[in-house]
Amino acid sequence: MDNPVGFTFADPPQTAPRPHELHEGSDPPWLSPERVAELRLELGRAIQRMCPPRLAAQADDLIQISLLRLVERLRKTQGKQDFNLAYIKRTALCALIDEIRRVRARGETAFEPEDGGEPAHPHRDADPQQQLWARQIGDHIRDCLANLITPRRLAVLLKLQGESGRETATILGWTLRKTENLISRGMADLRQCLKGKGHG
Amino acid sequence: MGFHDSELQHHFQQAAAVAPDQSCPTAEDLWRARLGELSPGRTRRIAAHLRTCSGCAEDWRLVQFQQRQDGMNPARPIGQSRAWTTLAAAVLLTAAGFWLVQHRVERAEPTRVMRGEQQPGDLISRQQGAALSREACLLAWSVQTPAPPVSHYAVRVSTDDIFEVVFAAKNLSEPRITIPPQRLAALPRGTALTWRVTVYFENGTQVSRVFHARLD
Repeated sequence: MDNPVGFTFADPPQTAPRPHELHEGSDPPWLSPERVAELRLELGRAIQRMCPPRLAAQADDLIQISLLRLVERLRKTQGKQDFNLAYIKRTALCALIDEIRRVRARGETAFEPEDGGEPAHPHRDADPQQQLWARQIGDHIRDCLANLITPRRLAVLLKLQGESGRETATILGWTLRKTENLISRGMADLRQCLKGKGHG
Repeated sequence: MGFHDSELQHHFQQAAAVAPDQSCPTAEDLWRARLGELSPGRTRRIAAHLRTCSGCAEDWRLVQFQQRQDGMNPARPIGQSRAWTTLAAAVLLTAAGFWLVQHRVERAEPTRVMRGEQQPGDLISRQQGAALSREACLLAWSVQTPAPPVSHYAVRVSTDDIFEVVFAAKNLSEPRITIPPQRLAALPRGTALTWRVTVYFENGTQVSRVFHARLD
């Protein structure tokens, strides 16, 4: 499966917060050092798997942030709500996305592979005219989408995001048949609109 | 000549970044929206936002990638064609019949060990494939020999709902545990349970394995 942001996975984080860094005093049974260490270990694995090399230096911070979120939730629920592996991964991914957003907001470089693989933005190295053309098409697609009727626009948007018809149907709460019709008609509208803008 | 779908996808996904604003959904909302866990209105607002915010569109694809990796794709859509529904019903009926037959066999031989592709030291369940009784929910497993001496075991049982851990136990000396019935009382019949056993060996190593079962 293609990695959507074109990164390879980073080396495993070497260090991570120790349990005693997260809470002081006597531990309630649901926040034992063993439990915290277990959560830290699972988070470390998840972050190791997801973290792009560009953010490898922040891996420890990401583990720490995720761990604090989990511990906070444990505290709020007095240990009545525990987490399985899927929830731990979800927490790690949300922390990672927040970090990516911070980097993006600071205007830092986009995420590109550091192992010589396919660049995340292939047209970046193309000649300026090609870049301009590619950017223009992207803008025109967005403009054309704005002109579609709402249901078709939503269906086509998710299609352009790489969702299958079945996935789109579930996400938007429609039947598969309705979704496929909307995608089909929406894509035809989009092509027609692009043709009117000189692409086609 | 017009664009292929993949070309349109490519150009849309590679469009110039648009700075995020305050209306950007949280990462948590992106996750939930893709799983169909949010209200339809909220989900559609988020989907519409992806048109104007390439940052969130990229974040969506990251969530999509991760959920696909973890086998967490959105569930089946709410409507299907008549032919597909009929086929699905037939498959379900066949599976239910098979399950009933197997369930009876498992009940008659509760200690039968299922042998699979496990390696020495790996764990095997004694319930694999059988439904768990809510009144006497015994989880039992064994370690494939030869294996180092076992120090202790830990068990964690959760529902497929990613929030809910039903039961957990540590420092078990025996390879079995009974889940108290009150822990299962609120769960509907047929609930899919995932139980994870970790065996800690005396030499400091450990092995974990996840098993699946349905609640009777």
